[in-house]
Amino acid sequence: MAEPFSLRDADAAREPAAAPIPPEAARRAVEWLVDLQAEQVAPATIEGWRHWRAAHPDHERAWQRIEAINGRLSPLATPVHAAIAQATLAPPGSPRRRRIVAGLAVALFAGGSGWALREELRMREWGADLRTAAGERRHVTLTDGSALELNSGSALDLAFSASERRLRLRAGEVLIRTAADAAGRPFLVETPQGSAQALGTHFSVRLLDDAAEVAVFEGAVRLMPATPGAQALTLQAGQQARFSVIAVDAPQPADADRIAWAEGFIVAKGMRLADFLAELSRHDGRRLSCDPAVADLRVSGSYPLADTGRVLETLAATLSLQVEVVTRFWGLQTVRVSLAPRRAGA
Amino acid sequence: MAASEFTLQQQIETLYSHHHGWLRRWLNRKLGDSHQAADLAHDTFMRLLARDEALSIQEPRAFLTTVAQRVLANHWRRQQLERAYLEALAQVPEALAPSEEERAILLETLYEIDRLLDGLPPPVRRAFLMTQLEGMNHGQVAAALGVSVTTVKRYLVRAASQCYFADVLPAGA
Repeated sequence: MAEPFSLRDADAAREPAAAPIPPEAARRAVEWLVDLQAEQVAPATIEGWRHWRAAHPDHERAWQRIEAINGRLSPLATPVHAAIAQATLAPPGSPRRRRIVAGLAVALFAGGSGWALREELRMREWGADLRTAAGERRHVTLTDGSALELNSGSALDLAFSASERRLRLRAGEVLIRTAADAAGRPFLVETPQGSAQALGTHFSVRLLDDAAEVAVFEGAVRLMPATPGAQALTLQAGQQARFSVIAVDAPQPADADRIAWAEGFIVAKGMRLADFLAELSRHDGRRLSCDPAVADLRVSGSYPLADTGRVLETLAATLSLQVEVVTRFWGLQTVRVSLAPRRAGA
Repeated sequence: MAASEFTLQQQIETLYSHHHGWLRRWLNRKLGDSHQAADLAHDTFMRLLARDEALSIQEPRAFLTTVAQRVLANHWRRQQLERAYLEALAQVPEALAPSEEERAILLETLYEIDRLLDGLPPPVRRAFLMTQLEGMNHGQVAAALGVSVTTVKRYLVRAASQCYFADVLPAGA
């Protein structure tokens, strides 16, 4: 049946002897796997899949085979490893090979990375002077008396010298209350997009995907995009603005609710559900997303960050939604929480 | 079963005593490295031992050459993969570079995935890696490869059938 000396025979023979998996169960397991990787997985699909697994021991064995192999391949699951794997496995000489790994460096240093890469960065020792893990917040007083609150999943370097006090924000968000410096050194926060110079002040700096956002609560902050010759702009107390490498956007009124995290809360006043979940996911460590059909529902209230699972439960109850946890295979996401409308009769 | 195992064992012992030296020299000519030749000769016999049916051999050296050629092809493929891997690693920014231990594990895992996907048409393999490594959904893979979502699903079924169930599902399923 099999060809006389297939490479695969040798490996199959090393597995513990067990009854072969019936081809029909194998075929169905593969179909479930593919169905579960679709963009939108209906709750009925997940239920159907669970039901199928429970229906017969052969089904469960077929599924366990997939799980076992995925387990062996799991070292490839982190974003950096996945990029290395993609580059290694791309056809020899293809430009793709170079692009994938080169893309990593760009993503890292231009701050244009996706959620997953930032997630990885926040988990590894990457030499930042101060770091917080997902769900962790930290208060730090610097040698000059300035006080920092580091938000969840953030990292920064301290570079104080005789001539300046410089923070390099590498990920996340920091809320700063500067102290007057005896030596009169300027206080600067450097971001990939440029720097923000404190002019005696209380302010926050947050890295977004391709911009930095600064909100000023006392004093003033001067925003200086990194491009030489770009127009700088001074924000006054009560103002906030985003800036890119090239320019500063028009200032908006500062939203003090945005820094409620420093007190351990998210404060929402009619916030879109999608935005609320994006905010909450910074503290949860998992990727939270929602069905487009419910993205525009409004969320209001004060939610403690200490227990994000409870927050999701509360939301689900008050908005009549359903929370599903979907475990991805050895791809980028390991856990996905989404909110979907509760099905009729469920 | 036990009888055929016994026969297989005997056959391999005979092959080994008569042809091991010859096989090593044959491999050495291909590789130009006597240590590697010794390793691969060993691998060739290990591969025979892993079989569960008796061998039917009329031409022992032709038979050994066929098996050794597979071992050799595998060896070169691993070498190629390792080179590609080192090239990829060299481009990773230092801040993100994996530790020594991670590197070794990663390379072994790459050998394994490469072996599991061996022989799949390039677009099928790419579609599978895109979903599994990049977490792309069907629509995204379809856009990247310039094919329909239906085709992507067919690719993924084919790749997953081989990757997970090569022993029970026919090739090209």
